[in-house]
Amino acid sequence: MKIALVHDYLGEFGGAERVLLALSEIWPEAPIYTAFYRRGPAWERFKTRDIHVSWAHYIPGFATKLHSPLRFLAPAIWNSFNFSNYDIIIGSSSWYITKGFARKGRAIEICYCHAPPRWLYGYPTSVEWQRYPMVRAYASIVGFFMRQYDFNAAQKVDYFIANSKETQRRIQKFYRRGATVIYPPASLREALRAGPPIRKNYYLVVSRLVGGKGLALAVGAAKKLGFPLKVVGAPAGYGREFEMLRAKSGKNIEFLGYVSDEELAKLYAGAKAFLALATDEDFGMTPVEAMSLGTPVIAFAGGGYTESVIDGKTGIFLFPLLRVSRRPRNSAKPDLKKNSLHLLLPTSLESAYTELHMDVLSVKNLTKRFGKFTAVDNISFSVGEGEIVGLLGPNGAGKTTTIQMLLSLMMPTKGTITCFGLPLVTHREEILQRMNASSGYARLPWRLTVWENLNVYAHMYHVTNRKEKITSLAGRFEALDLLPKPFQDLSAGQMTRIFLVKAFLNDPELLLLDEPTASLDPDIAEKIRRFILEERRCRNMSLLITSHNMSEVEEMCDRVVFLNHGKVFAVDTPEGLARRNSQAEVSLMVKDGLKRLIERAKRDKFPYEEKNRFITITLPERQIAPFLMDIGKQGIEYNEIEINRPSLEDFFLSATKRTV
Amino acid sequence: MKRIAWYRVWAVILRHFYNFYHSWDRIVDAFYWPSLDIIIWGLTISALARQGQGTVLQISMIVSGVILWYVLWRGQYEITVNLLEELWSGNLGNLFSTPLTLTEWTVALCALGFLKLFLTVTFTAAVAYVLYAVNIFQLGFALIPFITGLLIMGWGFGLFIAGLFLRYGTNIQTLAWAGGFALMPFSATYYPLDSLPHWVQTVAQVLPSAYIFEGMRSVLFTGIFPADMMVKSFLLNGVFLGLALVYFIRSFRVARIKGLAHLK
Repeated sequence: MKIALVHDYLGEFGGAERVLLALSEIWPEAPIYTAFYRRGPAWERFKTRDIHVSWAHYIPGFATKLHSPLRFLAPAIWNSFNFSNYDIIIGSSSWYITKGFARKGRAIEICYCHAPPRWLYGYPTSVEWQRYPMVRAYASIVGFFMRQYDFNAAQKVDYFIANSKETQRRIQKFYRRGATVIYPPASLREALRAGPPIRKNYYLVVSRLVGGKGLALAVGAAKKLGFPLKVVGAPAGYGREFEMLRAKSGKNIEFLGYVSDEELAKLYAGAKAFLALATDEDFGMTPVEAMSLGTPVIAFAGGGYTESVIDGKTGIFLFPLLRVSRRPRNSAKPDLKKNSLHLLLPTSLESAYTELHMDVLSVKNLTKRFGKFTAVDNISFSVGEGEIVGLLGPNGAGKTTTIQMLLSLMMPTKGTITCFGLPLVTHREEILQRMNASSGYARLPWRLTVWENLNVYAHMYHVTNRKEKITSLAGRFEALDLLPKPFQDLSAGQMTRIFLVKAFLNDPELLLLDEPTASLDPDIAEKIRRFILEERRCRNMSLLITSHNMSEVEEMCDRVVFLNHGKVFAVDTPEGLARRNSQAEVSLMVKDGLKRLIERAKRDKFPYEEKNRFITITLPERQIAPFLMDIGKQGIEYNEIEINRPSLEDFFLSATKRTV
Repeated sequence: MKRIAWYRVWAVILRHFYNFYHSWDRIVDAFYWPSLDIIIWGLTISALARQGQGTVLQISMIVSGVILWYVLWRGQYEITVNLLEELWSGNLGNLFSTPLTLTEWTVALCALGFLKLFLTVTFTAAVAYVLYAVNIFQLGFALIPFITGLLIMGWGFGLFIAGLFLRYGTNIQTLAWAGGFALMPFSATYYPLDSLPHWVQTVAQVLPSAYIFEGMRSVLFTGIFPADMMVKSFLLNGVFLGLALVYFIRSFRVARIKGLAHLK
């Protein structure tokens, strides 16, 4: 049986070309007939095949710029091929009306329809030609005849295959023909040979850089919300869309161009979410590829996306019209024209983005009173996904009480705790299964060996590979030799390490660490900090840490919630808190001009301490540079200089002093 | 009611199994005190019998009473002492910072009580048979409601004492061992109810255990199973267990208001 494959043209390597590749893998002997080709990614995939191009391919500039305005040549192109020797002709048809071929004898024509030509039926296209009156007039004349040709050609097809129910619906609507749905192949999973990469924080778009793909919306949203966006795909057509996108983009947006399958699979699997924002996609293979590699999709709730994305499970739908219909009963009917999709979509995308960025832990107005004493006073804070938040404060600030309430060991007097979007009060078991805790001061049953204690907790969290898990974690915390020992025989530092092993047994998504490195030797403490940071990086784990080790907090925490007397005193980054204490210290060993320097310090009312030739001056950090320049101009010479910038510890001390 | 996760129940049981393995006294106590009681009471009644003041049937009555009493005591003891174990080792906070629920924990402690009860009854029944030819199994199928009723009462009393510990901590820990014995005089364990003073009989009327021990004597002396007494006993047990559960749950809530990790 002789089979011929016919495809629009070979240029970019997109979804339609993946279908052609699959067809040519099923029938490797079948020649590929196409209108023209351009050297590029698609050509690279097919160059070893038997490719037949039409006469139009040899017209200079046709493959690059002329094929679009001269699209009325399509019937002449397809009719120029001689398919008389074939039994079956399989067309891979999209915008170039690749169907209804002239054929003799009993050759059967099967048309795999990616979409009826979008430009003929009013769907958004890669180039916004409607914007130009001359082009619009030209297109409406050409379109009038081509629509008729397209309809007649469709009637010559023996069997229609649609790539989605959406396309099936369009085939029925425009051609009055039935079609069988065979979804296109998505096989990138095999390209992920090195195993899944670490999931990162960027969003991904994979598309030809043309209009009608929702790219402008993705780029605009990334710029507005500041999230990192990677755009994979080469410019097609005249490249205007690409130029426009590049002009709109910011530092957080990367255009990666065409990438190999292996690289693409890695990008898919590493993305936080995939953006599928075309408002009228025929099917959309890229979201399927993303989902096949475990990446959620934020998709426009329309076109082919509704067939592949499961809202709330494999992705989130943007519901612009639904949002309009959810208006209060008595409010005025919204003006749908005014609230067009393009105005509403960004809002929806913003909501979906917020949904994906849901805080892992959210504490609101939390209060704990013991009789007349208020231990925790109306505090609110949150911990985001993959964030490390330090809970700092002097003794009695309410840190431990807060942690106990978060672990459901203590009932709050007032306020709410929400973890993973669920209220702790009603979803305690689900939440505690996904979190864990460790305290430098807690104890385990002392007669039991360390292994027995850990085995009990591994059972409690339903860990399946208990032995391997305990051994591997104990190895990471250098505690393998402690496993056979009774818990009572351990030193304080060893107990801390065992509690950390316990805390990681269930691969928690949220970890509460109360003094995680208390009683540990500095080298072990450093290794544990590395381990925690590595776990956060690999699993995007969130942490809430209390510590009295300020340098540890500065090193590990993204944000600090400073408690004092049960209240939130400050929330900021460690650097931000440190900067609040603006005083720095400049120590100088003065070679010449010590007296002048002291006079200068007195004049500026900077406190100082002087001993022999050493002087330490306390001054606002921002005045260090002008101060040093001034004394240089005055001819004051110094041999050594040391500048102590304000640290988190300075903030801690000053804050505690202030509130005392 | 939420579904019980049996793997968590098993985790609690495993924790106490490990404890039994490392503290032999926690296993020995399943045999030592009941055996000692059987020996002391058996020898006492044997001595009285030799003096013409006791009968073989009385030996059987007392020894069976001892065995059945330990059913009640064991049910209560395992709940209270295992709670104390967690309080002593500071592990209660760790346990309840996992998804473990109060129901699962209680089920595990009751199951532990049942397992140790099995050991106690088997061993003491063998001792009674070897030393005094008393066969507890001559009570026949009546043993099933007797043991069930006493175990439920033991669990109920255990939960009540556990509730006291959750409120007042280990300051009253003696109740873990001795609490159950407060019921003994009113349960008519070793002697018929009508031989007791009127006020004791009045108190005994509200105790499920008194009906069970009376029933035991009825089966031993007359061979008749007093179904009406058993119905009363189970009804009272239902009420007591319900009240004990309410008290225990409320006490747990009080402990959570104060902070479970603070409980000592």
